[in-house]
Amino acid sequence: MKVKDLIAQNYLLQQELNPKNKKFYTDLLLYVRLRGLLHDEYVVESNLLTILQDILDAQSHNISAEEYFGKNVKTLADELLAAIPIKLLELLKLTFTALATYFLVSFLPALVNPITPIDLGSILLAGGYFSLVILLGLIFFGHTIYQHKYRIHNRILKYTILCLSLSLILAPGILITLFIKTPLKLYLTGWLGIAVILVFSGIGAYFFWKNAEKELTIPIFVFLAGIALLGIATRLPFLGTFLLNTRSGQYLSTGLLLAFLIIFWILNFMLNRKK
Amino acid sequence: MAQDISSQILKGILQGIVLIVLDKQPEYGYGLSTALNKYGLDAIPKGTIYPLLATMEKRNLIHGKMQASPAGPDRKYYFITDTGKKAKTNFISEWTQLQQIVEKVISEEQEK
Repeated sequence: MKVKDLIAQNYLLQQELNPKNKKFYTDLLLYVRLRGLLHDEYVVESNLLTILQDILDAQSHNISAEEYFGKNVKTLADELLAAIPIKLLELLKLTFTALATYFLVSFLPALVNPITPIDLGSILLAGGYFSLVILLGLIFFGHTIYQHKYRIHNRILKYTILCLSLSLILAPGILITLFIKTPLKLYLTGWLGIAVILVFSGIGAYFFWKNAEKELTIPIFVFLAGIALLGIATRLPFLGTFLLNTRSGQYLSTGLLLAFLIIFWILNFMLNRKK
Repeated sequence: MAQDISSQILKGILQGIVLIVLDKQPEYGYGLSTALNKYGLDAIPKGTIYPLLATMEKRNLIHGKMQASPAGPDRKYYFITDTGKKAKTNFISEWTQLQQIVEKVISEEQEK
């Protein structure tokens, strides 16, 4: 069994948990996955699946997850992680995944306009910054899962602090993309641009297909697919001229961009409501 | 009772018991916790066995392998290794010695 099979089976089995046990297990899963980012992923996932299957067994005997596992979840999870070897390859894998995801998410939208060159250097610098932020953010989030005493209960205050923190953290990355210009520029016009879009769309589709939790990535996948189609359309001989050089074409391409954003927002909203 | 015993001593004893149970037949997590309950260890939260099993696997005392379970889906079964069998023999011998010492101390105390 490979890691992705373990994750897929874990995701399927979680649906069988009752709401109380699901909350208990999801907290444990998040804590172990986030705090165990640098540990051997196969061992982490096989242990998580074992615990889930055993909690389901306990559930079938009317024993709650907390009764079965015990109340001292954080200490037990820390002891479990201490017994799992650390693998530096996991850090490399994680950095590469974060970098590749940022690259894919920022590169395809940058290809919509064939006239403006793509600053590969700027994208890579911002990608490096965002990857570091994601890694540190995940480690920090892992720390907070069982820190009940620091939990803010006032909703407005909680979201204000969250928005302010996110703005402060994301600002340097956005400033890099806006103001840092590098000589590493690419002009991807015509058929070459279409070929690059198709290659990157294929890579994106492959990762989407391989993802065990496809449902969560549907909004961004649909958005990027729309952007890729628009990028191809602006490079086609007649359609491209119409979309870029005529007033109605410019309105149409701007409208389509807005429509993709709205669809992205609606799909995210629906996904959150479903949860 | 069991919960009052210092956790370090308990872990050592629990490891010995797990080795004895697994030497009888390979078990998966829940099967092992049911077996422990049968021996009167139901007061121990079963979350304790997962770090213990991971540590024992790291020390090559046991070996985990995914295989089909009677219920259907693949589960991780734990098998005792040769190193584990030696550790089990050591545990039984040490425990027997310790038991004799403790019994002697207690009987002297009771004779006072």
